[in-house]
This record gives sequence, structure tokens and C-alpha cells, in this order.
Amino acid sequence: MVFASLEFLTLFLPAFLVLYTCTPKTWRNTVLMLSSWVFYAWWSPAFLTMLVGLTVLAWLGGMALARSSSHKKRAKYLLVALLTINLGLLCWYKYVNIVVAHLNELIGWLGATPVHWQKVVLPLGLSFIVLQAISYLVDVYRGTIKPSRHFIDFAAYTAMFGQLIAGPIVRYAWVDKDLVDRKLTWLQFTNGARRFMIGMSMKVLVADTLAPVVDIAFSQSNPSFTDAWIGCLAFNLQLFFDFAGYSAMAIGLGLMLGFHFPENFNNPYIARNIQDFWRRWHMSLSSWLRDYLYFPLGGSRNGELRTYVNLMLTMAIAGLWHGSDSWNFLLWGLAHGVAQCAQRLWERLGLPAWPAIPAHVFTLLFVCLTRTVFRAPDWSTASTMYAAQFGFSDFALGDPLRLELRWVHALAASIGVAAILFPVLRQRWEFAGRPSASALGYVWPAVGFLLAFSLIASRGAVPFLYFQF
Amino acid sequence: MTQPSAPLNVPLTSATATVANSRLAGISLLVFIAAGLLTVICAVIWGGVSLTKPPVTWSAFLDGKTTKQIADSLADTPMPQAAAKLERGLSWLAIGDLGPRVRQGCARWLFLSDELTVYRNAEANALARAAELAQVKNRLASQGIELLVVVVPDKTRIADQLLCGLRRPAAFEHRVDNWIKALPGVNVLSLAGDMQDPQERYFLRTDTHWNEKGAATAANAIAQRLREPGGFELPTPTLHMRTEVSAVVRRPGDLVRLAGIDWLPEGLQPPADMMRPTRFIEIGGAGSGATDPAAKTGDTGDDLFGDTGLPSIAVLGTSFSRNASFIPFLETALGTRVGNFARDGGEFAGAAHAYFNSASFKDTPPKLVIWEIPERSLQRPLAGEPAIWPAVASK
Repeated sequence: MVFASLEFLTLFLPAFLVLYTCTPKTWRNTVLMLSSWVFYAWWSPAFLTMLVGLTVLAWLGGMALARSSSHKKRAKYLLVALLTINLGLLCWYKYVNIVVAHLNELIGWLGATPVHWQKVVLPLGLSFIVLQAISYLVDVYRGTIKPSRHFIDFAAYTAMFGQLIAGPIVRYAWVDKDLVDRKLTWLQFTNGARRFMIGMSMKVLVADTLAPVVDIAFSQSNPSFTDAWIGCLAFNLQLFFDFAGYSAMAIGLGLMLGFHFPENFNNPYIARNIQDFWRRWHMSLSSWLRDYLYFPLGGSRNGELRTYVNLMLTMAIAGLWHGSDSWNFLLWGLAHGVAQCAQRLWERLGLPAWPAIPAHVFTLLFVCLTRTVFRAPDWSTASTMYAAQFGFSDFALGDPLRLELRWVHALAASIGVAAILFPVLRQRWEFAGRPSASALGYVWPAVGFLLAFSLIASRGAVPFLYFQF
Repeated sequence: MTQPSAPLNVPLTSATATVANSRLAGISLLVFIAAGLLTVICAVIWGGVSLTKPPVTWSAFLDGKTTKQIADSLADTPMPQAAAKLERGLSWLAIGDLGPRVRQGCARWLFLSDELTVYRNAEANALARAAELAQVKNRLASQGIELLVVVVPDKTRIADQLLCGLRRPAAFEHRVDNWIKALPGVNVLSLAGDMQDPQERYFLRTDTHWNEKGAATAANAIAQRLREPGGFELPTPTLHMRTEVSAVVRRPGDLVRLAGIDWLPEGLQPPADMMRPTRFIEIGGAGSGATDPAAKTGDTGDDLFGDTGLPSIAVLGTSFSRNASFIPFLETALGTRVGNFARDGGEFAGAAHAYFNSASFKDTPPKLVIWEIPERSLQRPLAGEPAIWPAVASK
């Protein structure tokens, strides 16, 4: 089930809220767990067993790790075993198809009969579920958190429908107190409702409206310069508003129930360098990568060369985590790794910092260009798009995009750009005191949400981009 | 040992601003979800909306089909329906948006965007359809049945002077001609050449279909092609019609419906076509009176099972064959009854697939099949379409 769907907005959410508020406090985690399982099973009930299985494994594993804390070696072996199971499952579902496809190519090249293979379907949200389980197990092993003794509390944490499918990647330490003792207040509900409505507006009004433009731009066999750049820029708007919108909805839903999730985005498109960008984009993932991958690899503590290797490895794995159906994601990750290394080298050499505007433009350009390989379904499409973006094609707008583009797309893109620039403009001009600004701030989330609902009813639900990861 | 970091919590707005701004959001969401749940409950209990289609099986549940049925059914409940209508109406009135399927040319002429869609592998798709059709032609020929393929031109091709800001891709200029070239040995009639009079309108303004002028032109062109030397041996005309013009009526266009703005007051919609429908009256014979396409067959009553009067011509195709009195025009032009097996939304293969698998075809095969195909479906991808020719059993 997705948030921006009729079944969520007119059936699941109302029924859940009624049930949740009518339930005594001690039973609310049970309601949350069961409802979240229904939410997950809505897409495919068969995969619910996997979610429950991983939850049981992490819960039992956490307690076993805590019990083994006095035997460091035993605890280490146990942790390795638990991580292997989690990562093995993730790798199987994410990469087995592409591995078999390459294997079959090789077999075909050798003249033998290819292996008959039925494609494995990636369970919804598996990447996020596994990362959460790993962070929990590692934190218990490190002794920074105490394991959960109550299965229902723990299962409510792993399955919480607000963030189950596409993050933010919530760590147990961030919500353990809320899991045991949280209040359902009108103030939190209204604040949560506002965030939820803003997130829904971001997703439906901007991201989903631009989605067909992106699809068409990236499906052309011979895109023009204009096509390629419209597609690229529209995708960068779509991705941000889709994912940041989802995160805002998750944070809002959590707040409505009394949970306090961390922010996942902090105006990433105003970043001035690539490190700054990663400190602002999908922060729950970037901090996860730092704490559970980059630091364990040694971080920057083992000399310069090793630091560069660690940076490249971290970003390459981040790329692989995103993608399972082509190697484009690995290329994207490597490109970001190279950029991080280049920035570090620049600073180490003591070269002068770039002026603000060129630095901002260059960072944004780099992010946009690398997203082309991220979005393209294969290298062939990506290379065609790059050729067009660098001027090796016609200039004029192609027929498919000319047909698709309407005023509604210009409107959505304008709203998107204005929303991105708003934090910058707010710093320069004093909006807060103006009555018109106050009235707008008061009304727009509700109006945006109702408009978003109308669009969902009119064009049907559009899945979130990050579901595929 | 590395310590986990603290949460990256960056508040977007100050707490007081959020609190002050949030009250309306909270009340709105409460009212919304209460209304949503209530309308679903009312629609299920009193509105005849069924969330699942029985029987609900375990395998359908495990596959997620049952939940998908529920999701689809919710679109039929009052709140989403009203919201969808409101969105379409507001988008049209505010920015002139007609949704993804409809485009506006000049003078409030509407066009179906499918006619301007450039498909990936368009040429290969068209060739695959041509190959399919050649197979069908051979199978029919082996049973002594002739085939005439009729390509209905796009409205954007014929009414191109009304496109204004819309641009028909240059690659479409020769797509019908190229397709016909890929069909050697198949009798194909492109109607584009017969609809070139700049003084005439062959299509409706707010509808994707032809008007009666277009339908009559098409019918006459088909009759003329069949009467050409070496063409089909038409039966001696037994059907004679006279026509009358009815009073002017307003004809709401399907493109207005497709754009979702047909619920708006007439004054706020693009102006509908006003037309004077033709009435067809059979002169003499048992079937005298106004006709509709599926009406009487005009049999003489001297055949044992009533099958001598069955049409020897079957028309397959799309809603073009079911609109603007095309069939009566064709019957008048041919002087004989035809069986109409066209289907609304049938596109390339829908009607053909149903007809060749039907008892009508197997028990009483025709002598001629007229297969009407819209130009816009020639290059459409074949994905998922079942092959037609296996249904035409060869002899």
C-alpha cells in the first residue's frame, strides 16, 4: 500500500486511527504492529512471512548478542552470522536476477544452453528493513543500546507502517523511549497532520505530475539536447519531491502517533559541495553508511590512501544498495565516490575554496548529471542521454515530449523550484510578520492535500520511486 | 569502537510557527478521514459498491489480487469520484488542461493524444501487425473468404488545419503508405485520399470519431473499391434505402467525457457538435422502417432456416464502425445487409479476435470480411495482444 492511494487515505488510515485512539495505551503497540503487517501484506501477503521472519531473527539475535556480551569472540561470530543471513537475503533478492542474466550471457557465448530462470521479485522495502535490522544488531553488539525484551514493541518498531517501506531508516535508539512511553496529544496530531499534508502535496502535486515527462524523456531512442535536459532536470525535481515527500509523510504519521523520527532531508539542492550534499540528502541513509560502513572500514584513521579507498567503497556500496537491475547504480555510486575523493584531495592540498555561486552551480550540475545514469534503465540509454546532454544531437524539442508537455508540468516544475528556493529567499526577506504569508502558511497544506487527493482520485496511485530500492 | 551518531534532527520551522499553522491542518485531516471512512461504509452498505468480487480464493488473496480489487473498488465510492470530477473541472477552467489523453487545437477542436503518440520501435510494431494481417488473409483465402482492410485516417491528419499549437510528427506522414507497402497481396483501402476536400468537415469537433459526412464518404469509398474490376463479387442489390434528415440535436463528444469535464455546465465545456442525424428507411421489403445497424435482415421467408438472408459481409473494427450511422451508409452503398461485429475500443485486434473465435464466424462464415483499422493503432506495441490468425482455422 502506498500513502498516496485511495485505499490508504479512505480506508486504512481512518480505520487505523479510530482503532488506535480507542485502544488502551498498553495495547497500542499491538495495534500498531498488526496494522503495519496488514499495511505490508496489502501488496503481497506472501511476503509478510519474510518481514515477520526477519523481525523474529533480529529480536532473538539481539537478546542472544546481549547475553554473549561477556564472551567477545562468541558475540562476534554470532553478529557475523546474523549479518550474513540479513545481507544474504538482501543480496539474493536484489542481485540474483542480474547475476543469472550475466551467467546466461556467458553460457550462451560458450555455446551451451542458458539456465531457465524465473525472475525473483524484490519484496517491498526489503532494503530498508535489512538496514534497520543491521543497525539494531550492531548497536546491541556495541553495547550502545539494550535489546528489546518485548517482541511486540520490537515488531512495532521494525514494521511501523509510517517508515516501513521507504525510510527514513529509523534506528532503535531514536525511538526506544517512544516505543515504551508516548503520548497521543492534539498538538502532536496537528503538527503531524501538517507534515503529512505537506509531504502528500510534494509527492502528488510535483513529483507525480512530472513523472510522465521523465518517463518519456528517458524512453526515447534518439533524444535531442532539449529533451535530455528537460528529462534530467524534471527527474531531479521528481526524485527530491517524491522521496522528501514520502519522508515528510512518514515523519508526520509518526508524530501523529507520538513518535519523533529524524529529518531525512535538509534543503539538499542548496549544497555547495558534494560532501555538503550528502549531509543534506537522505540523511538517515548517509549517517547509516557512515556509522555502519565507513567507520568500521576504518574511516579516515588509517592514512590518506586508505581513506580514499574507504570513501570509494562506501559510495560504491551505496550505489549497489540502490539498484538491482543494472550496473548503472554502481557507476553512479563510483562517480560520487570519485567526487568525494576529489573534494578531500582539494582540501588536503590547501587549494582555495570555490566562490559560493560557482560552487553551488557546479555541485548541482554534478548531482544532476550523475542522476542520468541513476535513472536510465541501462548503460545504452544513459550514454544516449549523455551524448544529447553534451550536444551530440539535435537541439529542437522532440515530438514525444512536445506532445506530453502541458501547462500543468510547467506549473508543477515552477512550484518545485520555488519550494527549493524558499529557504534561501526566507533568509533574505522577512516573510514571517506579513499577514498574507501567515495566512498562506496556515491554509496551503490543507489546500495542497485536498488538491493532491483529487489528483490521486483522478489519475490513480503512483508508486514511490524509492520502493524499487 | 565507533559510537553511533545522534539523530540528524534539523527542524524546518520554529515550534511556535508550526503550532500556530497546524491547527487547520489537523482539523482538515480529521474531517477528511472521517468523511472518507463514512462514504466508504455508506457506499458498501447502501451504494451497491462491492469491495471484492466473489469468490475470494486463498490464492487470489496471496497473490495480492484481492487487495487490488478492493483498491480498485474504492474508486467507485462517492468521495474519490467527486474529487476526480472536481480536479478535472478545475484543471480545465484554470489552465485549460484536458488531462493526458486529450489535446486542444484551435477553435475548441479536441484531439486524442494517442494519434500523436510516437511509439518506441514503431516501424517494427507496424511490420508485426502487417505480418499478422497477412497470416489472417491467407487463412481466410483458404476458406474462400475475401478480406478488405480499411484504414481510417487520424483526425489529426484530416483536420490538420485545426491543430494550431499541436504538431503532428513528420514521421507520421507516410506511416499508412509504408504499412500498406508491407502488405503485398492484401486488399487495403486507405480512406485518407477520400477525405481531402478542404471545404468539408469529416470529423466531429469534440469527438475522436468521424461525423456522418466522414462515415458516408468512407462507406462510398469502400463500395467503390469492392465494385472495381477484379474486386469482390457483390450480391445483386436487394436493399434499397431512402434517407431523411432529423432535427438538430446536440452531440456530446467522447473527448469531453475522456477529459472528465462532461459534468460541467454546457457553457463551461468546449462547444458540442450540433448535428442532424440521418434516418434510414428501407424502401419495400419486409424490413421497412427506420433501421439501426443490427436490425432486420430483409429475408424473403422462403428459406428453411432463415439463413439465405444472412449477411455475406462481416464488418470488424472499432467504434468508428459503430458511430455516425456508418453501417447504414455502407448498407445503402452496397445495397445489401452487413453484419457488424465491431467493438468499441477494439483497436487493432479486439473485434477480430472475438469474431474469429465466435460461433457466428464458425457456423455461418461470411464471403467478405471488411476490417476497419484506425491509423493510430498501426504502430502501437503488440505487447499482450493475443495472435488472431490461429483462430481462423485453415482448410
